[in-house]
Amino acid sequence: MTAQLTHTYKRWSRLFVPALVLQLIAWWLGIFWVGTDKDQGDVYRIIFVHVPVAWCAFMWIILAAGFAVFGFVKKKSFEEMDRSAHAAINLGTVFSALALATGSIWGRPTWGVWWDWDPRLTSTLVMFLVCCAYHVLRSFTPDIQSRRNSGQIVAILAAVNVPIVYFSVNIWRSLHQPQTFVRRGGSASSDIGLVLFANLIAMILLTLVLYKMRRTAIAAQESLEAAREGR
Amino acid sequence: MATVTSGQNWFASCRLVFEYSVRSVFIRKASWAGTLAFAACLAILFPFSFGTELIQKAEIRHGAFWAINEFVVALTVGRLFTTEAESGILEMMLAAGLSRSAILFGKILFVVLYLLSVQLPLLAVWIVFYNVPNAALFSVLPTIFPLLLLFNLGTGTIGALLACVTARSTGRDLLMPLLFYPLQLSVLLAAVSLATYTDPAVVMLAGTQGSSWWTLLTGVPVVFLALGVLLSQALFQE
Repeated sequence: MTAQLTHTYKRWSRLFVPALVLQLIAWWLGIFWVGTDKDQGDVYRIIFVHVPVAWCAFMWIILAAGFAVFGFVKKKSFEEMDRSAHAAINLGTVFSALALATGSIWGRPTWGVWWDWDPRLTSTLVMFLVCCAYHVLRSFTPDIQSRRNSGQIVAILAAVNVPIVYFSVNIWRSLHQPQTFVRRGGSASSDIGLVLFANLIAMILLTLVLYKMRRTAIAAQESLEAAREGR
Repeated sequence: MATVTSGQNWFASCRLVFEYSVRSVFIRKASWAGTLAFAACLAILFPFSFGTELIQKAEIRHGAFWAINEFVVALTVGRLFTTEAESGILEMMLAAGLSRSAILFGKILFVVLYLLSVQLPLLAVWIVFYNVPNAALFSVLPTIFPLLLLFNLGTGTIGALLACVTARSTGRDLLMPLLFYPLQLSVLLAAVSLATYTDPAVVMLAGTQGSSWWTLLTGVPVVFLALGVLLSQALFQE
């Protein structure tokens, strides 16, 4: 079991460097290849980090809920799905925090403030807090079965926030710009869209490798816990 | 209390849980009176924390009412299943074959009405202590009742779900607000915004969309009620 986990971890960690190189190339394109924006100047280039990071946060939180639902439906894979949901929420938490941080860095020169109680920003903060609460819940629940059970439920509840965050800019009066790339007739040029898409793909691949590594680490940690407790 | 039989239908089970919850409050009269006294204390405390001049502003006045409500809600949902869990009644209900979703619905119904029973006298306290002008009173009062009901429904649903989730955790007192407040924030925002918009003293900004707040206030309970039904087997484990 341990040898198999070590092998899986090593296999995925070998893919980490190519995925990181791909991401660095995509960032290089965003910094040096695409032209300057006529309104924001070079500040807008943070879009190539901020947007993929935010999309990855959405993706992993939705996937965590998907794993949790699948775990409840297919009882046989409940443990496996709990590990998957746990790893996915780990990534969702980190990427929500990164989305908030990069958004704040972008907000300072464009809006003049680090933070505004705007619907998009507030709902993203809520999403991040729910993800944090998931981890606190797991660490405060000693019984493994209850931990899995309550963790899966909170993973599903956390996903309720994703559509609220996504549609917040359309529903409420917001300082945050509405969807630029998804919306038909958006104002972004095609080369910006292309590089952004390349960044998104690179970021998804990178997070996929990170997810597999984290998931293997969780499985190893649980095996260790089980061995300690004599389960 | 009615006798529990395995063939009891869903509505009867729901009523049973509701009746049990109401009776447990009646037995411990102090819990309802204590919650109301706590809310009244907060109502007196808030003008001093904001400043007695600033509290006259319509936005602050409304904000204070809903902030007090938040404390009442936290106090109520934090111990939602405590009596049942401690006395073993919950285990008995599950063993007797009561529908899990009926237990959840019974509890939600109880929370909605319990909160309302505290909020109504609190509303009177708020009107008196916060000098709510007559013009504001006549425009706010017709909206505040559906608002309170929907707020309680959303809050009660989320609270009941999370009370079940955190029941087996060691740090329940810490976990409950940590999980509850972020998830309930949309309900609070919608209720505060809608209550504030009804006050004629509040200048509404261009582009303010009251309908989206109503959608949120009604949508959140629907989503969480549906999740509660779907997850009821996982929420209540023997």
